[in-house]
Amino acid sequence: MAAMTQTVSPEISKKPGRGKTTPNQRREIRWGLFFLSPWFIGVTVFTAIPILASLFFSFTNYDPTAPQNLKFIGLANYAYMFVDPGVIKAIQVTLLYVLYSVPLALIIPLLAAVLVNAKYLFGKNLVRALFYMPSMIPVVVSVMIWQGVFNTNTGWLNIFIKQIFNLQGPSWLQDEALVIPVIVVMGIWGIGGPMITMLAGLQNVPTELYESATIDGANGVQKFAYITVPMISPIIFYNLIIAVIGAFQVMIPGYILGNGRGDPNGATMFYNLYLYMSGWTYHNMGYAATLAWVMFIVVLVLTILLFWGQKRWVYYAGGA
Amino acid sequence: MRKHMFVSIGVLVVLSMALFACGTSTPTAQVAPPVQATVAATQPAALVATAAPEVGKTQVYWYIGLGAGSQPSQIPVEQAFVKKYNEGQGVTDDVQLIPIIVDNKYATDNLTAQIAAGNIPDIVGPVGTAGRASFPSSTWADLTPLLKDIGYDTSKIDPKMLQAFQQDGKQVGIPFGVYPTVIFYNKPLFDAAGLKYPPQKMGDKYTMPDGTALDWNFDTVAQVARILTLDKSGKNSTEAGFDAKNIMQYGFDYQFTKDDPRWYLNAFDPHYTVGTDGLASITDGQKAAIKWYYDAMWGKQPFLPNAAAAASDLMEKGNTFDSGHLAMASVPIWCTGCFAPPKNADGTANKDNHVKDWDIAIVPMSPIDGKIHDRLNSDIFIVMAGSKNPAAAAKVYAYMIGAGGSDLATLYGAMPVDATKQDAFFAALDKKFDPIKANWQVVKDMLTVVSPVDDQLQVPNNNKSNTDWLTLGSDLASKPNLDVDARIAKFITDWNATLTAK
Repeated sequence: MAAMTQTVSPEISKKPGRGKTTPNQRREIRWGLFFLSPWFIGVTVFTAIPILASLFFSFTNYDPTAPQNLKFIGLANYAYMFVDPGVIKAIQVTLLYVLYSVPLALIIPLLAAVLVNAKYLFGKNLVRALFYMPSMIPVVVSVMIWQGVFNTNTGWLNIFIKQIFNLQGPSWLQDEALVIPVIVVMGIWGIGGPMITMLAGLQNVPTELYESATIDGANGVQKFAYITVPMISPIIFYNLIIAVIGAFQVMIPGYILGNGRGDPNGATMFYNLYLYMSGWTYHNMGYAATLAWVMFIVVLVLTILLFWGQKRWVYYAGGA
Repeated sequence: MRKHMFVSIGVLVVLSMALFACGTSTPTAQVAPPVQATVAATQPAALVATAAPEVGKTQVYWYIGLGAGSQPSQIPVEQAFVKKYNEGQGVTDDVQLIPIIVDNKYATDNLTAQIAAGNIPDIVGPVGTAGRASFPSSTWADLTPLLKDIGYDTSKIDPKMLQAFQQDGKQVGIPFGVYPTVIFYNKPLFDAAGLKYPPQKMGDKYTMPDGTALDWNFDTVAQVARILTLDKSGKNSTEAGFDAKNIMQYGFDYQFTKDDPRWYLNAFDPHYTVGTDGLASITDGQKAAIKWYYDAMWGKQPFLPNAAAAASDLMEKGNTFDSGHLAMASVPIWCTGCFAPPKNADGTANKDNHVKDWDIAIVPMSPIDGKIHDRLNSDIFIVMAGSKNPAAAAKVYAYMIGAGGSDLATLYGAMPVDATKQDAFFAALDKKFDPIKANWQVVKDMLTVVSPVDDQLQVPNNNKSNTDWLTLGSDLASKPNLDVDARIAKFITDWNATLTAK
């Protein structure tokens, strides 16, 4: 027995207890940390430290053009948020945009994915590429292109309306009631990514389910509602999270179309645009940092609620 | 269970932070790299590439765009100026001048970002009162010790002019140029309409086609401008059947100034828009100016391009007079920097020139008090307080207002404050726009009727106040069927909230 014991490697015979690691394990950990270190350093320097700095600035009156006047002001920025008419307007505009854009951000990519997945669609690869290509165009460029399309006098859309219906089209970008729907339409260009993920989900739905449903007499709509949607619900849920976070972060269309100040009359003053203007135009970076943190908390809470609610409607084929 | 919950929440927090930091602003929410705040504009580009620094020389960065200087036609001239300096005086000074040109629309935000990031340029300009008012005075360096160190003599400059550019006890600028407002008018368009040219002497009346002599005020301007506004079929806006949706030529424009109504309010009623109580103070005369302006765009007989029209290719995207489709423009003379001259430097015809012959006229009288209130802009160059090379910047500065000043004056249309240099300035403009010869005496005359109120003076919560004014101006220029009285009332309420905010 003693001889057998002595032939066993000391590392194997030593079961690591709590806090005790073998030299091999320690070596592996070191190499693992070494290869992860670029990521750690990057996240620390370019993400974590700026985030912590912004938290600090939210309690100050930091003016980027006069940093020597930095003063700690406690919760004054947070208190002001609740009475700032600019914030209230920005929240209204952003919520309106979220309500319009998030459902479309799910429905349209899903429909596009269903189309691209259709059995008898001719030129599937080409159609898929055409749906995806606009999402490769930078946001700024796409907004400027759409700005031309929706121009009241020279835009293609109003020229089309004039030619076909002999009517003067509306001022799409100058009408407070129309500008948000227009921005939502602009965003439909970016359905490429969600469409691809939905398509992947559709293609992974077991065909025997559809066969069984067909045998049971289900029609196309029933199959879609009771098989397709539940089976791809995890992907829908993923796209819902991304869509909600993205919708709350919208800023560029308002910046470009609204002349950098939310025109017309504040109708495109998104929350993030107001945050940007607070920091860079009004030189109140402390307040801008406050707005950023409040936005983060709101989106975090919303995300937690969505995760909590998912158990009611998201079906994981392999179990939750 | 608890541990599982904490781990889940921790993962959610980290995931949210990461997504938030890296998220995109596209509505259908792809996760994309963050988009920079300083975005490219249509024309000109928001940021024109700078030169590579040369080893062995001190780099001085010249930030252009806070005032004039970012028009496409000005950029090559500025680059030529920089080249001339670098190959001439720059060799003596051992300095390399590098321009950073930013679209005026984004310049304030961009410069703020540059300052916050520690990339402070050395010289900023040309910049007027409005541009300076966007930043605290601590942003600007005191020129007095800098210029003294390089032996620049300021004793020949009018002390009153020097005082005009002092801020909080600092000499922030040496007077570079002044820009009275005039009426630029397109002579061929007046000839085609059979109209007399606008008056060039104060007190002269305007003779209508039927022989009636009218005072040259804004009401007369409106009458004349209506005749000069033509639709696609050639009808003017006073004729039956005029198609206001297809206007091909406009009679009048407040070029480049309409975003902020303060730019034209004082022409009617010069009055500081903030009262002694710190609240908005808009007089009835100023409200009348707003209504005149609104009616000019959206009334039954429009003659002034609205926002969409001004931004169109027909009107050269805002450079309306230079488009050749505008009969009269009220604008300071810095706008000569925006006009394409008839000939290129090599004497060949300039294909970008659309106005074959123009001249200038006096600013109309106010219909309120019958007086001319000329809007005067003034520009300086500024050395930044955070400049890393203030001594080198001072050398370049001295060149800009000295030996190189005449080149820049012609480029920006900046009339020298020194009366003895003004004729040479106008001769240079004549040469630039040859064979067009304008009556520059009008410019000198306008200096005698400058408005007593500078509409660009800093107001409380200045940058936010600017946004309120610009939003008002944007609404006026882009919305037909607006209840102007109600909109003005709303503006006053909103602006008072800004004026009294922290």
